[in-house]
Amino acid sequence: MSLVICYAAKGGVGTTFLAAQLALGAARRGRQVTAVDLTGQDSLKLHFGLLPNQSLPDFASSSREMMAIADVNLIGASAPQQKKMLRDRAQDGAFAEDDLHVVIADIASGDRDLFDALIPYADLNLSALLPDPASLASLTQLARDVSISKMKKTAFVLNQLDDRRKLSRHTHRFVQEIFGEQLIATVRRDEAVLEALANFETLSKGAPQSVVLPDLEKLTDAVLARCSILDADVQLARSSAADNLDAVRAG
Amino acid sequence: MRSDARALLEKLDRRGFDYRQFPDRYADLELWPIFEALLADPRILERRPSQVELRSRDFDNMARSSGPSVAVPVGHPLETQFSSLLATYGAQPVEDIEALDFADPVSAPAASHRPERPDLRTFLSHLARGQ
Repeated sequence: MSLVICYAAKGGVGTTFLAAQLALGAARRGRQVTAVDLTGQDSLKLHFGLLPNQSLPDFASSSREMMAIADVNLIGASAPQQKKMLRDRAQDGAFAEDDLHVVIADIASGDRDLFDALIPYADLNLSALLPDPASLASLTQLARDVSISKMKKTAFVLNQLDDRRKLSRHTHRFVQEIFGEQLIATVRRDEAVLEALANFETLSKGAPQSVVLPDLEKLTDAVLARCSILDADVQLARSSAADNLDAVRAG
Repeated sequence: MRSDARALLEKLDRRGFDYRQFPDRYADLELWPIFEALLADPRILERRPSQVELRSRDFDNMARSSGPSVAVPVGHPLETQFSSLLATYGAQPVEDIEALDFADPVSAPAASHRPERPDLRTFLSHLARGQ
């Protein structure tokens, strides 16, 4: 099981959007995916086409109450006891098991304590940046004991990139220069993202021509590669599951 | 051709357009003050020491590791002769002369004959007594 944290030091940079799209992309690639909304804002579900009045099941829900959309299990866990359950699971080694399950945790920018508690058990922290000065300045808040460039579990994605704007182009170049391979993807700006949300549709359904979609595919590939979950592993797991099914049928 | 350009052209059903991608769109990069501030912040980038600082550090390490180490037994004639000189350089006389492999027990004077090591407190008490 892999744990991918989506956390940025500043809010409003598209962390929840990226967490949702990452979950959808990983599910399309055959991974078993659980996306956990830990933000308390309850907006992750909107990216799956759910309505504001629909609530997500929590960790205490029974298996019959579980909600899966586009092969992604959705969990809402913003209450303190729910966060504690996730921390306990992490400490019990739930994320150390070697299987193809990916858990994507969307953490609010203000919840640094939860981020600090989970990061030791995570494979990766995906941190979104915007090409604007406030987002860049918030980078200083992400570092703790070592500089950001030495934080091996932290990867950046530059979101809402717009090559027509000078500061956006320059920020892209700057972030490339200082973070190198830590910048694993860029996602272009497209109004279609908000329009799909307003229509309660997933982006791929509401705006199949969006320039954002190919960027998100690259992002998903880069994240899964960082988590060492390769396509070969998925194919192996699938063929082994098929063999088991055949054996059961034959028996 | 970029995927967004291709998608747009297909959407418009215009196949007669020439496509040209302009090279080096980043040529006009400038160092905005926000970039400069972040570059100087050790929380973002670990500061790399300059060549001069590296040379200086190497020299310090070398001097510390291979420099002469002088251990002078207390009461040894050398200690009486050069105590003030060694004190200047921070060398401390060894308390236990027997513990040294090279110590010569014959030439080592008895503890009662060891000269009193001058220190500031002794010096001040001598002054107070008018000696």
